[in-house]
Amino acid sequence: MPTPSAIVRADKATKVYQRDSIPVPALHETSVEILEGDFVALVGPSGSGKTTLLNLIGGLDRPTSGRIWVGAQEITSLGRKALAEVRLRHIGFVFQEYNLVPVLSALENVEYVMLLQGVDEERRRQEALRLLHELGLEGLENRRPNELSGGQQQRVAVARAIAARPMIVLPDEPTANLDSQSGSALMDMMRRLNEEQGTTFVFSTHDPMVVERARRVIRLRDGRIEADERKAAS
Amino acid sequence: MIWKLALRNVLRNRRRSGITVLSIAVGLAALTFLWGFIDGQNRQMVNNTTRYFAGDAQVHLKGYHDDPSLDRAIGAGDRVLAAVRADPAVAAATVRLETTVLASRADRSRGIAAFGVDPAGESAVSDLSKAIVDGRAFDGPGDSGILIGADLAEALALRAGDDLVLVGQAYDGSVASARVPVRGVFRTKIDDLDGYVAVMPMAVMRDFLAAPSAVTAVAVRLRDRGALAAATESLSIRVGSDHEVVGWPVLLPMVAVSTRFHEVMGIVVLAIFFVMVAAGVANPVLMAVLERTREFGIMLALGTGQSLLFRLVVAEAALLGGAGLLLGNAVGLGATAAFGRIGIDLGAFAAGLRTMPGLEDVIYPVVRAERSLFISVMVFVIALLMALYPALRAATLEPVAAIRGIGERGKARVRGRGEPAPARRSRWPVFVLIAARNLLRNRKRSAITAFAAAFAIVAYVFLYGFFDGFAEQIVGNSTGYLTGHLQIERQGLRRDLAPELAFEDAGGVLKAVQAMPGVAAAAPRVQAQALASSATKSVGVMLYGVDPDLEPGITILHRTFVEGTPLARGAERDIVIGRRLAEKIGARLGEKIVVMAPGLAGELGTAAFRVRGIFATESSSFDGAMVFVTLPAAQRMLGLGDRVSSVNLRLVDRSQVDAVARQLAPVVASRGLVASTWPELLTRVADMVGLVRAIRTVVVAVFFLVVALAVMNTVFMAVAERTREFGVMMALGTPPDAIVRMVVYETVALMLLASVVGYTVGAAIVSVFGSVGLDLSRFYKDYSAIPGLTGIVYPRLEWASLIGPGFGLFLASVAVSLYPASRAARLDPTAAIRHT
Repeated sequence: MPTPSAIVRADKATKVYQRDSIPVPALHETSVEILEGDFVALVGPSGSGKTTLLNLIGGLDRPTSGRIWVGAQEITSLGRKALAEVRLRHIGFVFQEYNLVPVLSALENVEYVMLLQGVDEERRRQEALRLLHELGLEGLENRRPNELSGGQQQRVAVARAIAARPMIVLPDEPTANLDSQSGSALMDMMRRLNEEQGTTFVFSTHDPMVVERARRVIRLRDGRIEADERKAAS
Repeated sequence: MIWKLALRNVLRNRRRSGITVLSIAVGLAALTFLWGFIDGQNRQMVNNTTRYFAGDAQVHLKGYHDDPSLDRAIGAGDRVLAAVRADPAVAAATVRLETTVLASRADRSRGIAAFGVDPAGESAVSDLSKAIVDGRAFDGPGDSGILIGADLAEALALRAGDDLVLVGQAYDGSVASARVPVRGVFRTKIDDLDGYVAVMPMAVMRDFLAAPSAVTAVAVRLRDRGALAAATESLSIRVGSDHEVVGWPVLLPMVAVSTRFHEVMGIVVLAIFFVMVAAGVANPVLMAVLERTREFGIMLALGTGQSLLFRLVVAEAALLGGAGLLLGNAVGLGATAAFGRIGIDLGAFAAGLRTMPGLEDVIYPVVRAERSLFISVMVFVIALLMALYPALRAATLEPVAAIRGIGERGKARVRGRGEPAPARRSRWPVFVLIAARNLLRNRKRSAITAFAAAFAIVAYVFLYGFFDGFAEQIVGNSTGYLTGHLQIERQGLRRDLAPELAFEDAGGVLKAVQAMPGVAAAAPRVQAQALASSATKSVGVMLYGVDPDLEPGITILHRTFVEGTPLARGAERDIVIGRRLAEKIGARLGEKIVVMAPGLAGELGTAAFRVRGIFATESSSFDGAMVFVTLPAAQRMLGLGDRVSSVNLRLVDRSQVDAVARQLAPVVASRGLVASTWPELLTRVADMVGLVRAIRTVVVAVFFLVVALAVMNTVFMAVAERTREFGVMMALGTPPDAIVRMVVYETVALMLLASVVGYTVGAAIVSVFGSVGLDLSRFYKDYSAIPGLTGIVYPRLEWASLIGPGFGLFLASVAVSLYPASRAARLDPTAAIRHT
């Protein structure tokens, strides 16, 4: 069982992809615990297993072997529908390429997950507006994604991820497509959410600026955890 | 290199390419089969009608075809025959002598065309002798007796060996009569031959007409019917300008009209299919270009020429079109050839088929290389044409923008850049909203698909409207001009119209039926087969004795008079006739007509009438074959006393005919009578309506199949291009069933749009043509086989008949979207998010 403060746990998680019938190992018997309030950076070279680990702990993918817990629930053997429910209730994703729903406005994108959760219309509208304002997107609520800059889109993606109050937010290379100023502002914002609201973040990154702001850094290489360092509180 | 690239691109998205090829192939196969079917039935009609009797051409004295009479007999038959036989295009020729007679046996009679033939020569030209089903054909010139059709034999209750009485006009204008033994009975399944033609040896005929050397026609069989025009020209020179050479299209106008009409219908359906195939090709090719914007950008950046890209896209369309052609031709030609061997049994519509002379119950479709080539070339050209716009678009992309993945569709349309707008609230459920916006997102694709579906719906509504109008016209006219909706009669009356089947107490029957709910009007009638003769000509007709006061309640004939006036009470010496009959026998208003018909107890009833009025219904089967006198005049002529043949009824609502007939049955049964409904009275009309509806259903089913495939292709493309989006939505926790719903909503929205446009435009077209009429008189002129058919068809909207298939199309289109939708819901989110 996970320790009381662990909100996500991987136990000897292995992932082997099949590419044209050739097995391609991506993660090898990796065990890790993410604690409530963590602000973790997964770092490592391309192909080290960062995104795979994020996908596994986010219930987006299933391990070839090993087990994953989200909260007290073991999700390894859940069906598609149940996994979708876990992601809906407990996980927030932020993607490298923003991946907003293109036909929905910024406001509707933020509302989307709350709508799936069954939050009533008035409350989700208020919450989405509050988040967008808080993330500096006031006045852009009705814009569609293709009418927003990359930084603005990524902030909408963060607002969407945290709107549903998930246990954990998993940004995958969140600053990769942003200029340094936008990237820095985004990290400040996520750090603030972490500190002020206790939102747990685990992000994969190559970006030294992101690593610098993380309070815990997990280094991966060839599908194995090479190091797991917790920085002193700053 | 281009072809290699194009092939790989086509194979890259096998499912989409497969569906595109399939939709081309289905359209092509359907067209091939449809045209094969039309050619098969046309060939059968022409073969049978010319082969059984008419011949490929005939030579007459000039003017005989328009005005057949013994006065226009060929003087030197032998010389003309020799001249015709000498023509190298002629396989065989024979002389004939034709006249109109009243054929009777006991109290039954019918006006028919009687031919004197040379048995030896005739067997080389026509195959009537091979169609003998009772008795035997002629063996030589010395034979006696007469050959009659099976329907005539049945109507007159004759068999081989029985005697038939012929009454007509001799060459000198006197009455000719003879008793001739029936030597054989033939069955060709051609109504005009089986019911109205008798053939006897030339010597017997000449003796009957007192015309020792007369010949009215030389019938010709050509070596090659396809070379008719050349043969006609050559024969005309040989026989001289005082003779006419008439080819089968003129001799058999109904056959020519039918074949032409079939071909026109085929071309209309062909055009509709071409548009649908075009839409089916345009969409995937356009999508294939749009989804590869980045790739084209890279190719342009690497120095690929614009013309190369253009040719690449066109080559891909050519490959898709070519594969569609191969598959479509394989299926279409295979099915046509297979059914060409085993035949398509349409025996269920036998009476309807009889309206098209020469058509048998089993139709054998024909494979014709030139047809397949034409359809294939057209489909291929359409596929290439549809690729031109996408190809041009690909070739004119801006490389930098394209590499960044922004084609024209990706250009941001920034709204509300000025003052911050208040957050808008959508009242739509989110998945409906997403579905609607997705349709608007790729307007071209949505428009093409909606256009294809809407076009099919317009075609479907028009086709149904046309056939419903066609059916309503022939049913409405046939019942309105002739039978009414119900006929109370003795069992068997319609088979031979025998005078002894007339019944008494018509007044009692009228009183009883007029009180029945649903009956609008009732009127008594006398009906008989008769021979109507002017001073020079005789024609077999149907004689009706009607009550001038009551008849307008049943029929609307009184509204169609073009000369004179309808019958009036007390006008016992007057007759009204159709315009076509008036032309045929050369009778004018005020002139005298002699009518002969078998009366009660075998007596031949004869009376002379003055032409009081001439009606024109535009339906040649009525205008050319019906005469009306007053009820007392007919009763007196036939010796019926106050008996009548039938009481005819008009109902308040025609569709209630079966219910009213059931109510009437016990009332009339007590008098030994039956109530026959209009489909029983007009079996040919009812079957014709059934046949056209069956054909319509098959054509519409193929339309719908092509539309469903186009919709499925579109939904597949919509799903494929949004793979990443679906992945993201799933990552966010969207349940799989919500993904399915969203995709299905898009199809529903698309089909709703297509339905609104399709039904509105279709209904508008039907309404316009419903009021101005669709003039098909070019095709129907002289077409008398379908009672009630007039030159102008008024399409009509019958929503009741549209709802079922329309709803079926809607459901089928939505149902086919379930497959791509369920594939979207089963996507692996991690792979989907990585999808580019």
